Amino acid sequence: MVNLSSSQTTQIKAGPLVSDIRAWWMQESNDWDALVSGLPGLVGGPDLWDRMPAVDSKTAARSSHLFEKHFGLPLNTKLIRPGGYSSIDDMITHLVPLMEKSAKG
Amino acid sequence: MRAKFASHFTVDILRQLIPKAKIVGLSFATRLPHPSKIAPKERNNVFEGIKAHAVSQCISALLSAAGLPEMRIGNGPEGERLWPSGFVGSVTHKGTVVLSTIAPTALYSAIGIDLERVEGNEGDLDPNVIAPEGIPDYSHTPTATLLVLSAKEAVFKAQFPTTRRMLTFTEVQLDWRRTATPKFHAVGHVFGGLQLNVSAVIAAPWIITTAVRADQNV
Repeated sequence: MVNLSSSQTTQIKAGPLVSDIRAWWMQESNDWDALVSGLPGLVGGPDLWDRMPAVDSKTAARSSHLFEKHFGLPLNTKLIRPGGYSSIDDMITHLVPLMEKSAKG
Repeated sequence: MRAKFASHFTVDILRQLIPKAKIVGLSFATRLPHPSKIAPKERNNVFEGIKAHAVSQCISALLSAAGLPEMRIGNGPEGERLWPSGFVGSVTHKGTVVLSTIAPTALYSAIGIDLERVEGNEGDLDPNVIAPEGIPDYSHTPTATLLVLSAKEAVFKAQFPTTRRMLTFTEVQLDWRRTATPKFHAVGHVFGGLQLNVSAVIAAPWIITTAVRADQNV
């Protein structure tokens, strides 16, 4: 039996966390794309754009349950970059390593 | 011919919340084609490009409104905007709406604004993480949690030039003193003793919040 160090265990959990975050975000994006495709004619343009998913502080805070699921800790909101992120991969690249470090203690 | 930026009703709400500050806001929705006319993979790029231009135009108009010359507002090492000496300012954007404010430090020594939108997914926000001190008295808990998130974002922005601290939600405590729906008021206590006056309005689906230094008349 191989005993894993806590850092190895945390690294193993980062992979599934990243997968979960991407899957969660893909669902959000697909939901919006479906909304865009589903409306008849060209009504609702401005409101649709207002509802486009954005990787901002609110989105990062909403992902906290995923960090808690995989790392046992809710997202440390101090780590969220002011002004948000350019993409979900940008958020993952920034937050996951920082939270991984926190989880290792 | 390119469509002009449009106004937005949240601008008037913001003016009511911080009447002594200069406020400029706009909606860039009129500059965007209907999203169905853009390939899905290009929609974000198109949106972000027009948003960047809108933010730039908003700031330019804000400086002019404050009697300041045209200048580039750069960013500090933590991403904070570097306003001209003697002024405090704040910018927020959500969806197609951009709001901005600036004031001389003689009027407001600290200022922060935030704009959020109720989208029906606020149930994912954990009030124990965002508002361990409690949420304001409001009929819909997820919306109240989003209101707290927005208020604390405004506080984060207002306090940063003074403290140079990035804060967590637990390092800001809001003592809510509701006046009359849909307006909310709180005293924000920041780690280290700073106090800020926080105001918020729910104008569905939008939430507009402000935070100003407590020793200033609002």
